[in-house]
Amino acid sequence: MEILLCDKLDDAIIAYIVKKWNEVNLDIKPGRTIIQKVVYFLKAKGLPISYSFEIYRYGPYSQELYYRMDDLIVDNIIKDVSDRKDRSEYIPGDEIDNLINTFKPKIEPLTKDIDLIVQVFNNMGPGLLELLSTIHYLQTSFTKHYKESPSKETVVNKVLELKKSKFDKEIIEKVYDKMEEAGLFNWNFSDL
Amino acid sequence: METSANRIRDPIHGFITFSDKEKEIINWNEFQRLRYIKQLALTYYVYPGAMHTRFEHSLGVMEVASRIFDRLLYKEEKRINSILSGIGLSDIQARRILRLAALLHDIGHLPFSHGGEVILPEVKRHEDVTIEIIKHLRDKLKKMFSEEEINICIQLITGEVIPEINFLKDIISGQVDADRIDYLLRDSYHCGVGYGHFDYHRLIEELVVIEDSAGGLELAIDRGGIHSLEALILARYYMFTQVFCHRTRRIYDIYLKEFMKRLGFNLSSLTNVLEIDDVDLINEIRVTVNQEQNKENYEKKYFAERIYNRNHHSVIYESSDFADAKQKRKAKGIYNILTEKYNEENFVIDLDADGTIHKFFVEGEDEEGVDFYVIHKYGRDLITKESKIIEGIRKKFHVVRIYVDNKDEKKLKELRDKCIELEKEVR
Repeated sequence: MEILLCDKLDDAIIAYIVKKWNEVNLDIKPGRTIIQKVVYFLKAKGLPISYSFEIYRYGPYSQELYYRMDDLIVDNIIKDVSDRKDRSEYIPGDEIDNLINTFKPKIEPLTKDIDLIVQVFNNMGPGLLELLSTIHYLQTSFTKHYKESPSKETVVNKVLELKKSKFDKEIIEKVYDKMEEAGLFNWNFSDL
Repeated sequence: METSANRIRDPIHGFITFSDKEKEIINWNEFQRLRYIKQLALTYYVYPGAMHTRFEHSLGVMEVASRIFDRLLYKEEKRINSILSGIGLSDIQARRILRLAALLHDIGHLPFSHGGEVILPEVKRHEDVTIEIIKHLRDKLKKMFSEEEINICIQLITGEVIPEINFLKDIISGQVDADRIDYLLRDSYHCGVGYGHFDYHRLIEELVVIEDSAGGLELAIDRGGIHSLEALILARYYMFTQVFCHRTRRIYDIYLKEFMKRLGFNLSSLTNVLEIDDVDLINEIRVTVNQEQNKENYEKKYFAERIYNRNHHSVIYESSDFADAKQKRKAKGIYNILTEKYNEENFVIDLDADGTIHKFFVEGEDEEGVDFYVIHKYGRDLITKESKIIEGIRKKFHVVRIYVDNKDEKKLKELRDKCIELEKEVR
C-alpha cells in the first residue's frame, strides 16, 4: 500500500510522536487528545507546525489536526486500535517508517524536543494531562496579559478554583514543578 | 459610551457608526488597502456581484461586535462590570478594545484573501501577518490607546486571553462570532445567493454570557435563539457548497496560488504584505500575459493566461459534500492512474476544498470539541443536545475533485466514465 495523502512535514512529526510514545509507554496508547496536546506544546516551542490551535476549556484544540489523524490512518501510517468511536488509541502502522524516513533530514533536528515532551507527558499519565494544559494555559495567558509571570501560588490557587476538588493542591504543585523543571513555561509562542 | 459621531451606509447593517479615533485608523493607508483586497478572490468569475472587499467586511465586523457587546451589557451589566473591573477594565474600555480588534482582524490579508497565503513563509498564516502589522502600527495606535489596550486587542485576535475575558474572544473568534455573522450575510448578498441569510437580529438578541468554571464569562445562547443559531450553521454549510468551494471558484484559486508562488515576492518581513493588493496582482497578470514566452516565465505565463483568458479545466470527478479520508485517498488513487494512463491530458486534483461547519462537541461522536451552552428554565445543556439539527449535521464540509484540461464533451464523458470504473478498483 503506498502513501497517497500524507506528504507534509506535519504528518511526519505526528508519525514520529506516535512511534516514540509507543516505544516508551507500553501501557497507555496515545489518542487524539494526547496528540493534540503534544503537538500544541511543540508548536509553542517553535517547531515548524502549521496547525493553528484555539484554546477551549483550557485545552488547546485544532480541528484540522483532529481530522488529519484520519488521513494518517487511511495511508496506514498509524492504526487506531480503539473499539469506541469517541476514543482513539494509536499504534504505528506499516508505512510509518517509510514516511518518517522521507522527512529524515527535517525531522532529525526536532527529535530532541519531541522526545523530551513525550517523556514529560508519559510520566504524568493521561489523567494529569488536563491539569498540565490548564497550568500552561493560565501561566502563558497571565504572562501575556500582565507582562510578567504569575507566582506559582497564583497559578496553583487559580487551578484549585477552576477544577474544584478534582486535583489535590499537592498534585498541582508537583505538576507545576515538573513543568518548570522541564522548561515548558518558556514554550509560549515567544514570537508573538 | 464613546461618541460615535460618524456613520456610513452599509447594505447589510443599515448604518455603521464609528468614533473619531476609529475614523483616523480607517483613514490610515494600511487600512485603506483593504479596499483593494476582494473578500472572495476570483469568485466574481462565477458570481459577478462578488466584488466586495475586506474593507467593508472589517467595518461590518466592528459594527456587529459592538452590537453583540451592547446587548450583553444591557442584559448583564452588573456581572460583566464586576468581571471587567476585577482585571482593571471599564466596560467602555472593553468595548473600545473589542471594536479595535474587530476592525483590524483582517488587516494582514494578502491579495485575493486566503489564496494569497501560499506565498507566506512556512507555517505562517494571515493571522500572523495581522499581528505583525498591528505591532508595526503600535506607535501610531499608542496615541489613542494605552499599551495595555493594544495588548489585549492582540490577545483577542490570537485567541490567547485570560479566562475573565473569554466572552470577548468568543465575539471576535468563536462559534457564533461577529466575523461569521458579517461574512455570511455579506457574501450571500453580493453573490446574489440566498443561502447565507439567517435571522441574525434574533441571534444577537438571544446571546447571553454565563460564568465558566474559571470564574470568567463565556458566550452562550438563550433557548429562544436555537433556531437562529441552527440557521447560521446551515448557512455556513450552504455557503461552502454554493460559493466558497464552488468548482469553478476553486480551480481559479488554484491558478492564483500557482501564479503567486512564481512572483518571487519578498516577504522577509511580514509587513511587506502592505505593499501588495489585488490591483498589483491583476496588473502583474496582464503584464505577464503580454510578455514573450521564455524558459523562465513559462509556468508563470501559463497560469496568468488561464486567469486572464478565463480558460479553466473541467470537472470529471467529484465526491459528495462530506468526503472522508477514504474518499480522499480514493480520489488521489484515481488521479494517479489517470495521469499515468492518459499522459496526453492535463489533470488537476483538488484535495483541499474543505471547511468547518461547526466545532461543537457531540457526545458519543467526538473525543474533543467546543462546549457551547443553551440556557433554559432548568439550567443549561450543550447545543448539540438541544438541537437535533446541529447534532446531526457533519462537522466538516469536504469535496474532492479531479479536473481535466479538455472541453470536448465526448472526451469528458469518456473520462468521467473511466473515473467511475476506477472508483471500484482503487483502494
